[in-house]
Amino acid sequence: MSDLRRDLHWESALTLAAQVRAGERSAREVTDAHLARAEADPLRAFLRVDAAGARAAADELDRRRAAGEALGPLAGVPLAVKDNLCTRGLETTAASKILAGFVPPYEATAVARLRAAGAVVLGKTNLDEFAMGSTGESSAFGPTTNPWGQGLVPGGSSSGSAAAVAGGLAPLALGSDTGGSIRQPAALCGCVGFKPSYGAVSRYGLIAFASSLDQVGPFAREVSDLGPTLDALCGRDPRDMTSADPGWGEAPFGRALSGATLAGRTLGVVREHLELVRDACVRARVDEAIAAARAAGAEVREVSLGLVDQATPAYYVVATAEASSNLARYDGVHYGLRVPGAGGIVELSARTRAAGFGAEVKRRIMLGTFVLSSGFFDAYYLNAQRVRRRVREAFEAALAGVDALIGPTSPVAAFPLGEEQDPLALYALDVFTVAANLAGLPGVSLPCGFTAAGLPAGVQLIGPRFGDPALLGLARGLEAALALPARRPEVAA
Amino acid sequence: MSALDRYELVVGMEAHAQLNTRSKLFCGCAVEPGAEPNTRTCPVCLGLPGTLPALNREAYLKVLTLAVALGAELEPWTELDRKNYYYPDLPKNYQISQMYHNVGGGDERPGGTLELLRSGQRVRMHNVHLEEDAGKLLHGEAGTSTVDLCRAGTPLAEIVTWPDFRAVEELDDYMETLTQLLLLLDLSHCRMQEGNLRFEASVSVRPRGSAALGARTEIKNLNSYAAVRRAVQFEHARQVALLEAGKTPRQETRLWSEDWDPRGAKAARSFEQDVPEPYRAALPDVLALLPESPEGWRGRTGFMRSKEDAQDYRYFPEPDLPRLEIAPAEVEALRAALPELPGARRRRYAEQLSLPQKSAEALTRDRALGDYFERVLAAGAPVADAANLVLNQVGALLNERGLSAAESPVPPEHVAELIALVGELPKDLVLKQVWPAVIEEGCSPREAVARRGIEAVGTDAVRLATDEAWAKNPKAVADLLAGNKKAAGALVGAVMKATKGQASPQLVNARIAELLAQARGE
Repeated sequence: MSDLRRDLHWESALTLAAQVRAGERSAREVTDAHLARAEADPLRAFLRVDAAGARAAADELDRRRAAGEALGPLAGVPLAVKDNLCTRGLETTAASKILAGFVPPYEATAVARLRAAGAVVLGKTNLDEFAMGSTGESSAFGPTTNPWGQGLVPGGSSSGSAAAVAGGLAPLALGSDTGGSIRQPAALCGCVGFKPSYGAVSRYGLIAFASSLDQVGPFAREVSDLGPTLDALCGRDPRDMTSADPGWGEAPFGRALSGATLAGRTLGVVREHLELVRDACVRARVDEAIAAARAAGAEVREVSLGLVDQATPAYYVVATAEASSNLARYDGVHYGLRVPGAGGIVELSARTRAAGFGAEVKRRIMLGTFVLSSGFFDAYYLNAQRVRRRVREAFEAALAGVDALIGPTSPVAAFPLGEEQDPLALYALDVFTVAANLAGLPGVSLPCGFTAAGLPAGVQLIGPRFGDPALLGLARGLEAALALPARRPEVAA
Repeated sequence: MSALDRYELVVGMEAHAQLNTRSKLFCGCAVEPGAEPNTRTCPVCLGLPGTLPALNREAYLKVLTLAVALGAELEPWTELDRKNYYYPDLPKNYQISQMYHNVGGGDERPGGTLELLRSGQRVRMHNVHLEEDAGKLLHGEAGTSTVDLCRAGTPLAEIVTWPDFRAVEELDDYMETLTQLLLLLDLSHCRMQEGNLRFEASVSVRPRGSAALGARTEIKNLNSYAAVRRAVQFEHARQVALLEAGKTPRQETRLWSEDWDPRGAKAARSFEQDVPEPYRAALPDVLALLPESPEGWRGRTGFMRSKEDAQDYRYFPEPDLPRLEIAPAEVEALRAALPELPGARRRRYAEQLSLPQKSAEALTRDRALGDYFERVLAAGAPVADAANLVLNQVGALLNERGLSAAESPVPPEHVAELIALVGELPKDLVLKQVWPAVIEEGCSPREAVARRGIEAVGTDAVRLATDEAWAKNPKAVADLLAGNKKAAGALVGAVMKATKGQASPQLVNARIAELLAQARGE
């Protein structure tokens, strides 16, 4: 019999689901409790809360339970969904003015699969506009705040999802990761964020930023919560031809979690990465995490991963190129914002895009258009793809003798909103995360302690392509080895 | 020598064929020309945010089949690319097409050849590739336009030749051959009026004897064979007019305007608009070089854009679609299943079957008739007779009833039997009595003969009947003796009447000649 007196908002997803399935709590009770916090939302984690939809879904679960039906593994679990994932009948904006008012008539596969597992969608979370950013500051609707400090960035681009989970607004959230946008905010907000291998989770319904890099992935406060979540999310979708069937069998993540341990495992440390951590406290926490892994019985050896300085520029060339093409459809003609006025179609589109896109999005579209243009395509785009291939090969070599790489997620902890204005400096924050996207590898960030200023630090594990279940197992082992004392941010109710 | 003759016409053709799959290239929407606007759409072909293309494999295989049929050089894999440009009928503002690794052929790889079915000319193909169609823009009043996306996402085969054509007549041959090939391979319905098949012509001219190519004009908006012919003739005249005036044509894209009337003051203005010197031809110079006078001529090409305005499409490989492996075994299977290609058929008819050029061509151009002919041969008929009967007797029947050979009420085996009968019955009898009976009775020739009691009258009986007619028609005989050869007709008619048409006309005429000679005392 679980302890119902514990504060509902800090329960794990697994616990809540078990309670709902067993009838100890109604889905409605769980939903209402979370809706109250979500609607208050001092962090601006949510762009919109769908109270009516959430209550209807919860009531349906309760009705089915009362009728004796078996409920899914995530029954009644409140879910926050990044607003670049399309939700049927619920406005989806990608945090951009150009999609304000856009209501998709269809749903992202990832969302549909979690709903099918019983999750209740609370609402849509804030992000950097079109997922382009690392701080949440380029949302057209105002930035999200880090639950651990007023006026601090939560990281990005999945800023709202990370803040919601870390701030006790939802036990589970969906985000997307193109260059680190799940892992980095997880590190800055102090929760767990998992980026699956490219192709493991369908991208259908994810508003595209960079097609060959984007992946959908979950946030939670505890690694175990990601077991049933990833089991529900992963798997080939005929609507996404880049999605794969990795042949993992039934409930691979649940199975990988049972008995998960670091004992006997081998981890690789990339020395070049550790040296790039700018915050001394973050560096210390990561070093301690590596020591804890050793203490738990893992062998930790140094590995070399060259090309550290080439991965980020290659990423920005490929990502912006694909983005410039993916965002061409926002032209004021078919849906979304249309800025009327005199002139023909060219003027219409130009006015609409000028008004509808923020500065960072415009910057990346121009950069991407440039690197694809005649005369520059070979030097930039083709070259970047060559570097990308070499990054992948370098990872394969580095991962050859180890189960996963361990290292920092972010070179810094959370910093004040508005402090970093230089786009290139912001791009450089992705240094530890972009390579996994370039190579299509799975990566997970989990909390490894706090800085002296009381801000979270994160440690990252990167596994081989389609080694996702084993990677989750390692994360669980590391989480257990770290055994961090429970600590919650003060978030005004 | 006309100015036109001083220059060589150089033409290349580009065709877009809508594939006849049930659904679109990247989604399950139905391909349905004529549907109510925007009713055959879904989030994918509307390009809604977050949607992804899912490849219709059947469409891809059809283009692969075409590449194999043309003998294009294939690579181990093929890949789709994004062609980026903004236009309201293109929902994603990029078209998924191919540039770097076409299904068949490219700048560095031969695209195969198409042997034309009339002339046997072997046209070099540049490439065939797969791409999606855009929607339709309908221009309304007061400068508004509406967008219909039913067509957006329809699968297309783009088929491009090298500029191997030197005369307008060759273009007709090419279009007809390509159409027949596409129908044979079951790729497209090829109905130009419905937009299933669209052609663009690239036209340039150069002084005879020159090896360098002149600047080419790409002509769009050609909706019929006639439009293609006239547009090329117009461009030929326009470019020669420019060169003769000491100017040089530049690379342009031009639109064909079908109804333009060359007469009147407005004609010159509309022709010259948007074209700066020194690229503007004088209208009278052009008109003087057209094959028809201004009274009869209609249509012109009009400036659309020049090379300077040309877009940079920023092609890059489509990241949402994986490469398509082309397995040699798959290619072999497709090759083995190919039907006889049109050019090959004409060549076989002319060279191996020794059919006269016109017959070979006619039996090739009408594929169903050719297939019918093959079955007549298979039933044992000799080649020349089979060709003769199929083209004449069967052809006339089909024509009269508006049927294709595949719908012929008379099966080819009956035609073969008819031919065999000619050994036993007079040819005229067979053609004039047995054939109609076969048609009317709907049975085999032998059966028809039995049912109607058709038999040839024997030689003696013919002679007797002729002698009798000679005796009973003194006026005709007198006319004949006077030198009026046509009078014999009356005698032949009388014999036919008496023998119920069952006398061989050769025998009758021979006997009349004998009697005539006798009467003249020869």
